[in-house]
Amino acid sequence: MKLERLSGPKPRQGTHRRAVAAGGLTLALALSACGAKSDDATDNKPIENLRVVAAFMPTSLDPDSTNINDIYTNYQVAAQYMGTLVRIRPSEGSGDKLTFPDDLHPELAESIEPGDKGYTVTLRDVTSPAGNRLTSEDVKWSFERMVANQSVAMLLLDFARVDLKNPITIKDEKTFVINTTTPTTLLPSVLENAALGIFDSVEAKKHATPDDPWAREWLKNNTASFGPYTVEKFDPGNEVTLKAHSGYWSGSPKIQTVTIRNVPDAASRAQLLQSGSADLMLGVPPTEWAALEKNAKIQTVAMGSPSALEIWLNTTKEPTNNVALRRAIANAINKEDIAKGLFPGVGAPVADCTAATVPVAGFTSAVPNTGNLEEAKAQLAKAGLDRPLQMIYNSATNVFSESAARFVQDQLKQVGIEVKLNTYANQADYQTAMDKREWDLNLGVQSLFINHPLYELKMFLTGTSSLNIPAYNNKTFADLVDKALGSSETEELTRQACEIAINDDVPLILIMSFPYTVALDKNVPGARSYPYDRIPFADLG
Amino acid sequence: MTSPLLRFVLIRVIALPFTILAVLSISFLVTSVLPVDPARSIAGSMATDEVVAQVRERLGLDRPLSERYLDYLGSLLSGDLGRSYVTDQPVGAEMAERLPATLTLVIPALALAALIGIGLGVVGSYYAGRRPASAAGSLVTTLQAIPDFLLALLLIVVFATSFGLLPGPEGQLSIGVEPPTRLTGSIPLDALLTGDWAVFWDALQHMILPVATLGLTYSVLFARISRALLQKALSLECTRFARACGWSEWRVIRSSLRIARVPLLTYTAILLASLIGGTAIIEQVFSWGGVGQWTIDAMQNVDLPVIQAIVLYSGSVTVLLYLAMDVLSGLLDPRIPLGRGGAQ
Repeated sequence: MKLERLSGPKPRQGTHRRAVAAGGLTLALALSACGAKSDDATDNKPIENLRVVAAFMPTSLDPDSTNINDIYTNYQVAAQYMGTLVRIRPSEGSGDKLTFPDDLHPELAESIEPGDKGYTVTLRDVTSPAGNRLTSEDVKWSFERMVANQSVAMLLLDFARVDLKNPITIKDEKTFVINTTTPTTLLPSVLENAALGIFDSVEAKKHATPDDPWAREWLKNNTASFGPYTVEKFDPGNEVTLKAHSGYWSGSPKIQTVTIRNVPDAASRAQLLQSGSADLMLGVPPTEWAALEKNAKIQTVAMGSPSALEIWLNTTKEPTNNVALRRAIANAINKEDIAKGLFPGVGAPVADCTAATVPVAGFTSAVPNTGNLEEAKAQLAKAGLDRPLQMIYNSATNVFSESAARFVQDQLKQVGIEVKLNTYANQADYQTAMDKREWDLNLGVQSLFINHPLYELKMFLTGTSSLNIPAYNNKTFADLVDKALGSSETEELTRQACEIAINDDVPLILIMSFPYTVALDKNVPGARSYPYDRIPFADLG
Repeated sequence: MTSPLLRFVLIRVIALPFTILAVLSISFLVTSVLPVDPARSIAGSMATDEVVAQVRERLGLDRPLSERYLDYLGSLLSGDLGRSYVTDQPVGAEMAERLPATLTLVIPALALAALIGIGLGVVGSYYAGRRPASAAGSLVTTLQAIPDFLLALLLIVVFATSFGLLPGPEGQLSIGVEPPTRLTGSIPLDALLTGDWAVFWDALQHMILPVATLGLTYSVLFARISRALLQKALSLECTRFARACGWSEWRVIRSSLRIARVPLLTYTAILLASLIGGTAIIEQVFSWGGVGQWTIDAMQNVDLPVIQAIVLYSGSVTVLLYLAMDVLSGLLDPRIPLGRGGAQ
């Protein structure tokens, strides 16, 4: 093409435009020929290789890593390859609620019988992907490893009253006793957690060293268990590929390969699902939910999850150490409005005692889900309040937090309680602020490792550790919880404890349950709403 | 007698360690006085105070600042960047893992930005006052108004989701595709070197949208600077003389670009330094897994060794690039004074 100077003639534009259009069309056709995807989903064939996009990816495969971040990020993945003694299998029609022990089923265990000094377990005939048979020795090694790690699994064993000095007594190759310090009904619900999964100790011990007797280094990047999947490839923080265990005791999963990739951005995950580049999206925020729900090629599933949006009230300082003020705040909160506003059609107000999806029989909240403004004002008049309240929250780790904080601020303003908001953009800053205890209200999401009400009551409302965010200190309550943990009258004692904490003292206010949301291609059958926050890939296909 | 250029380079090279020392000292001090407790963040909310104290002791966070600083310098001298608080992996190894991914984006993006930007600058300056210049100016203004993350999302919606022309934001390769044998760490380059054409083509397709996003975003800067420089160059007496001597317009433009090359190269170095540290948002949107995305994770988790390593890397790269730029400028334009020796 000839350039002309400013005063010269202009080129013929028609030829030029046609050339550009032809070039663009050619390029578009070439790219579409190369870029267009022909995949199982659009061809309506059963899926054997599942492509999953998730907001996280573990950097270690050890389900009981000494690094707490690994446990948080590996929660979903470990549940696929770790075999556990029991497993939750919700009954059909159970909705969002679980019933224990009905919904707990033996998995690696063939039977599990309670006794005075523990539980007698008989193992199934199970073989690991490495070809080793499951024995009592594997269980003993796994439990001793949990104690040695001093990580989450040990906390859970302690919660379940397992004797940490001597957790397992072997009777024979297939029978053993899990020793407890007191009688307890909670152990089975604890055993279903992947952090308490059973290792193939024969395989793991091959990679143990004198300096690393528990094979921690090897188990960071490898797996040795009895679950339906095994890890074929692992790129820490980026991608993991699971391969079906062909010799799994209940039959090899239909989906032979699952590749899970870390895609941090929710909009990007949704794009990949909609374009057919992914088959399943773990974690669907409200911003993407509506669009995915409307997509005829996609099915959306919201699962009841032991997670809830909560307000913790600082019981150690004025003015929130005044129970009348705490009751005023509880009555001012309209949980239904918040649930509808944050996650329409999916979020639900929590009328129960804890975030667990196991209801506390006989418990009724003193405050209706829509709140009680008259009662709130009456309690506020009784308490008196001469300054605004400080509320902290973490805006980075949870998409709801900012909106939820605004809702709470507005609702409390209606009864005359002014709230100033302090947001923290990362978990570290938020944790530091929490520990300082200069706040009055603390808004956050409570997610339970164990889906049982006593877990939240014991771990998060008793004791002097930082887990007890409101620093709630009521001896009668604490005694009731301890008694409930080891008694056959667990349900009644739990109900009594709930009455004291949730209805009388109000150290925390449960607002909204947090469903665990997934979206998947309609050609992936088998997805259903499980009232716990994991989707077992072995059940799909 | 040493040449001024050599003297200049020597002075800058001698000063380099001190500059880098200043950068990492400031970064160490700033990250160390942050009002957060990394030990609590690492131990997690379920940890007791005793466990947090153990973590603090294990990481050495309970030692005096001066002791930790000297320890840090000593480790750096032996090439040890420490271990990540979050992953417990050597930071140096993680950096080596991620840097090629960032460079895979940055270098082509910069080339594209230069091509588009200088092209728009040429049109804007050559056709000043006429429709092509207005159109180029409008395009530059539009691109400047769109934030890079929004441009990324728009490109994804159009090319990936709506028309299926290109892969979506799933990272450097399609899900389930095995990466090539690692030689350089750059997936398309490794695929090319190992002859894995299927993976090479897959990687190339995945590069298009993020490179286009960065290229279009940064082309604006090239467009503006090149337009200003070329307008000036085209109005010089020597240019009029060249035309009077019968030079073709293409030759006139090439000559004008030669006049403007030193400032353009300076800008390129500045942009390269900026891009190397500034692809975080795009890497996050496209799940790229490079240094940018790593930076975001480290900031979120207050992973101090990683943050310090990234600051060290960004600072060092910037200083080295500027040094290279100065040397190149001196070589290309003898009129540029280099230290006290001056032009020869």
